[in-house]
Amino acid sequence: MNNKIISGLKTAVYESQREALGEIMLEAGRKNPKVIAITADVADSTRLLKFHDEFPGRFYDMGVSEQAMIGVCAGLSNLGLIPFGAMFGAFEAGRAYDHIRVSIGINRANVTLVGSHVGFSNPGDGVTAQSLTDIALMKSIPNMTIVCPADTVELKKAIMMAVDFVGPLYIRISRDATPVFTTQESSFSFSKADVIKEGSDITIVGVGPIIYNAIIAAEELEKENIKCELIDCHTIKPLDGETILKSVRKTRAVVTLEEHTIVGGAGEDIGRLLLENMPVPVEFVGVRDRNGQSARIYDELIDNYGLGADSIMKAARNVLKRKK
Amino acid sequence: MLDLEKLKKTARQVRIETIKAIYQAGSGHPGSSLSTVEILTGLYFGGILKHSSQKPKWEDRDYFILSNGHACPSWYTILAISGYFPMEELSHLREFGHFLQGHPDKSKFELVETTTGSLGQGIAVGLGLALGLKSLNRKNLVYVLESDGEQDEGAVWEVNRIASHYKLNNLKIIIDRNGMQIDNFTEKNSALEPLDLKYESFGFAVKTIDGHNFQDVIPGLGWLKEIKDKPGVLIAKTTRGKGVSFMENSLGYHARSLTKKEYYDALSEL
Repeated sequence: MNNKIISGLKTAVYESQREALGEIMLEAGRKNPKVIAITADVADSTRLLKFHDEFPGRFYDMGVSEQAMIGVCAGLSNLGLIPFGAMFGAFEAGRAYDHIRVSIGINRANVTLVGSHVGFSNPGDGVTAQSLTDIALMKSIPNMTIVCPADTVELKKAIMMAVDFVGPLYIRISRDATPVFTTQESSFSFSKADVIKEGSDITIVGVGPIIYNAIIAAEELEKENIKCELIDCHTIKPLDGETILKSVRKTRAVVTLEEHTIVGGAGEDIGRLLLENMPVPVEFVGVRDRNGQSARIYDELIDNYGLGADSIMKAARNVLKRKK
Repeated sequence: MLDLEKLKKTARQVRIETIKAIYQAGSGHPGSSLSTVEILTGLYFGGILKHSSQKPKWEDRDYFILSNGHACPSWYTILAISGYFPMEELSHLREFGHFLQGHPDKSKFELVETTTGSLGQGIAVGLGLALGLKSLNRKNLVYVLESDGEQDEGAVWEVNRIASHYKLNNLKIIIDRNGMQIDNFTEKNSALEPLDLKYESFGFAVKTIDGHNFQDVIPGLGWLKEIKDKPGVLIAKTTRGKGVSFMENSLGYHARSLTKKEYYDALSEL
């Protein structure tokens, strides 16, 4: 059980994961001289310029060449270096998919890929830059570990762990500021999902910063005497079935939540886990097989695509009805 | 002084063992396996590539990547003749669970620097090796063999642009210019020429040679090795299926199994 999460929209501090990436990569670079940063013309957007300034000899900008970038990461790892390849998630997973499948996945290359601007966190740029399919692509690759930090605190922990981690790793991060709701003291490891709030009626398993909406939904549902247990499932692959099943044994109803398409998303894996082990009613909250689009305000997209607290509450009430 | 007759003899042995392996495997790519024989023989036995079968993962070795992974039967044969593993293993090509996969797979065979078979990827990993070796101040060279059909891949030109930008004089590309790809002759499919000028304009040192004549292959590879100021490319003009008359320049022999008659006809020619 984690330490008490900070909750409530009014009290939450907002921080951007990509800003945090810039800071923590510096720390990783200082900790281990083998750490190398590689990007494809988005050094500023991924906040890697600071790394470049401090470690110019350990930074490569490939220009707009995502495929070459992946190959370079694989080649550097062959020499015992520790490459971090950071790029927009949409283009990293999408444009360079086959290079990741072969040169990183099959090779079991010791490479960390950071996909930024995922979900709707790049609202204005619209459909091509929004990354709603990267989990689906990445999880199809054997040996790939996939981590979606819920906030900047988890992201920093994930990057520092990635320095010592062995094998292909994908870390998925948001661009704009999101609420910080875990703490330095919260437990975090790639092998364990974290129960961040206890409850007895429904298990909500969430992925990434969007979990915050589940925190709000759970508080509202509490007023209807519906007690939600919240699981921060930051590591999608390998999935921590033990923690999820332990919770579901108690609640017998599940809502999954992710800022990603439900087709090939994390929810599917959670659904499969339950079907194979403990069939209970499940509702999937995520993008329902649609493309993204521009919006000036992030929340417009979240509401329109059904990822807001009200959608989660609706899913929770539905799953509760199905349980009875 | 190199004994060219000895190299020719080795090349003949490589061809015979390659055809045997493909026949036994029941499938494979005879065309490119035969067109690359002199290039590979020159690299491994012509004093070009720094390597040692006694110390396969030797730190000072030069790196070799078969970016055109489908030509692996001849490369595997070269490795066996070099003493990296017993010749007998060649008869297990493409067998379930064996390290001699249909395309080189790093996860199954530790001598493979990177898994290939998806064109345009071996060279991208080669770029990473070349960049990394520079940053580590290591003198090893990176040799990458590509096919000409592979030049159709956009990733190849991403790499070429970047290699030139970083003036990677440790990156040594060889192109097996056999003039054919799966569907057609390269110039009839979507023309590559003038390929030398394309590489020149990308900032490469370029040389074209006869890829089957050791009097050309050895000096060509030597030239490639010695380039000091930029990345280099050696365009080796070859014949697909070289050495077996009915396979030479025939579109049918990119990937296929060999009948018993084809097998014995090929061996008798070789």
